[in-house]
Amino acid sequence: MTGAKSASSKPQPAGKAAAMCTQAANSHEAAGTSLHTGNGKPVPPGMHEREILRLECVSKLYGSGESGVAAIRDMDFTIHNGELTSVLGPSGSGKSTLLHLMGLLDKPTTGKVYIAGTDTTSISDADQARLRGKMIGFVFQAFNLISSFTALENVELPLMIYDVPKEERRKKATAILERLQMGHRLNHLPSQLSGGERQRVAIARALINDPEIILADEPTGNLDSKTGEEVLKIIEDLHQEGRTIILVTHDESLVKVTEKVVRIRDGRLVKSEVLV
Amino acid sequence: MKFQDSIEYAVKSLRTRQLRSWLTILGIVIGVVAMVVITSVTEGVSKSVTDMLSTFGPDKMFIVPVNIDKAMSSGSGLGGSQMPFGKLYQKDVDSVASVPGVKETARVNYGRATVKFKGKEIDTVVYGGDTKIFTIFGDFFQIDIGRAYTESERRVVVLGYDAANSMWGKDKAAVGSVMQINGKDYRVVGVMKDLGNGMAAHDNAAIFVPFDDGKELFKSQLAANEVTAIYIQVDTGFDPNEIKDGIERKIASNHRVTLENKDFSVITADFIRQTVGSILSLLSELLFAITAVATIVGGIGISNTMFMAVLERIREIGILKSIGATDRDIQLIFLTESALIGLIGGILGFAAAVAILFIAGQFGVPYLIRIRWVIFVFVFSIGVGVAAGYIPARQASRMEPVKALGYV
Ligand SMILES: Nc1ncnc2c1ncn2[C@@H]1O[C@H](COP(=O)(O)OP(=O)(O)OP(=O)(O)O)[C@@H](O)[C@H]1O
Ligand SMILES: [Mg+2]
Repeated sequence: MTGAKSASSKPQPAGKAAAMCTQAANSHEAAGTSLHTGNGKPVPPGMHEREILRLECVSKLYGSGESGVAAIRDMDFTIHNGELTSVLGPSGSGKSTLLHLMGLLDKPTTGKVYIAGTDTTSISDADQARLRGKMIGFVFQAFNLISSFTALENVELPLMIYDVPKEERRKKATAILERLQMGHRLNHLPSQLSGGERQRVAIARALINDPEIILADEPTGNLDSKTGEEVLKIIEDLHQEGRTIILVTHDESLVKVTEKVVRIRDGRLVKSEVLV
Repeated sequence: MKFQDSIEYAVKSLRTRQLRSWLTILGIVIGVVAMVVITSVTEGVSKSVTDMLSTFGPDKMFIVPVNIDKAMSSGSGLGGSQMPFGKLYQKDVDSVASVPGVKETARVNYGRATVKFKGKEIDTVVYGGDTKIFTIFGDFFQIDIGRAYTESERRVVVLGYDAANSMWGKDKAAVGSVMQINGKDYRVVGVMKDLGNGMAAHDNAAIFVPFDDGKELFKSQLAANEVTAIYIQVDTGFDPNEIKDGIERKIASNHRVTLENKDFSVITADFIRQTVGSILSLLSELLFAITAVATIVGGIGISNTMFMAVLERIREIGILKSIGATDRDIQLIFLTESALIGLIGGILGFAAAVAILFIAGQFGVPYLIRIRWVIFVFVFSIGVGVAAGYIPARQASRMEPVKALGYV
């Protein structure tokens, strides 16, 4: 709210933003149609036709007045079902902010975020939480496991929130950890696991509710290159299953696994390209 | 999230919790211990006083050679021109007996003497009293084994429960055994009932000998015909206050003093009830005030540690939000945990309080644990936990998830 006010009290950038927003939105519509064609990945035909996540004229302002920062400006783009998109940009360009906005962890100052056709800016916090829990799985650079819970308990947690009976959640969490080669570390606390193992647990937790969208913020950032490769392989596998994945990174070398790249700088979308 | 799952969550996160949660629990433990111990002892003391008073009915009174009003108001009269201490004599006993409504009188002298049994020697208080003290205060000095001595007997002794059973190491002074008081042989004829751990506990150590034997034992300490105290049984149908006035007038005239300057007191059940009652209520008010202050200070401490504990876990709140927890889920988790901390504190505190009371009871401190206190303690401790956890939990749950996640 204060952000919105500050935008109008700062006529120069705000006016520019509003003007650019519609422009970008229009230009994106054109780009969007061309985006979801011609990738070489074996994704079931027709899946890409469905829009799953859309940003409409989204801006995020931090603070107000002279010290105010526009972390995201007039962002407009669409992600389709099953796409593996990387968001690339230098440090401070707004990648994490963008990911938080897409994952409903943060509210845009202006603009709208649609998930599976729902305007998330018009629903209650509790409904946002439910939508987030069911549709989105997060993988963070810092793993974000709960330190007093074991690997298995961390993975079970989303099911606990959704009232899944104990037996069932234990079975599901065990299965998913086993699939990620973590079957031998079920009862370890995060502090007893290596970085790569922690990230596997975090991925298992992100997957437990079978979300359509995986949002990953520098998932390999805290890992050595070999472990990073392994985690990247898991992400590719998830993509093969048909999940929609958005991978935020500043590491150009990760782009190779993705089929679409969104480049941002200073909170603006610079280029959106399809890789073949 | 379901309530039972929030309990599971709370238990899991308490497993590995830091010192701070244990400090919070300790705070509650101390509060509970203070409240339970103080209240139980206060109630125990008033119960044992009430019990003792019930054996001291309105038909009984006794006279002591000190002006209690003056002694209490002037700090035992030290340095005062009028010492409130006097002496009672056989003449006073005869005067008292002539007051209408006085049914029986019994004389008592007491002092320290050396008591020897099976080679063990103890310097203790010995009472030399008329046998009528066992009838006048029969409810109190109940003979359990054997009998009271008779008017004509000499060199016999009636022992309090401890004086018979525990004062002589592993030996017991049973009825029929012989002990030495100031070198003379005395035969045990009766042992009194155990008076328990209450206010009367010290009378378990009492040693009674016939009046004439007492007179002989304390000859050097007593004036001729002196009596240390007079016990009185009143006839039914008389007003105890009128009898008291009559006795006071007689003794005052014997002692040639005015009633204001009397050097003795007639103690009635009313007098004890009033004096003890006012001391007890003052004591319990004081203790209540101390407890209230302690509880408030403790409560502030608990809120503070709870607040810090929640601050430390804001990142966890962010994580919970990122996996779909609502504000309500998070509040439920934290409130359940606070309540659990309170409950643990309550249980530990109550157990500690009971242990302390039990140990204190071994040293004769009277106490009374009431069932309603158990309920109150758990309501209190869970309440403190929830109250202290509620505000920080609510505030933290309302943070933007991204802010909570970024919290270090
Ligand atoms: N809470 C905040 N308050 C003020 N400014 C913020 C806040 N969070 C982010 N910013 C600013 O917004 C901009 C974008 O930050 P963001 O974290 O999205 O960058 P990033 O692209 O993820 O960088 P990195 O690659 O270093 O993680 C930065 O200039 C940052 O300083
Ligand atoms: Mg970042």
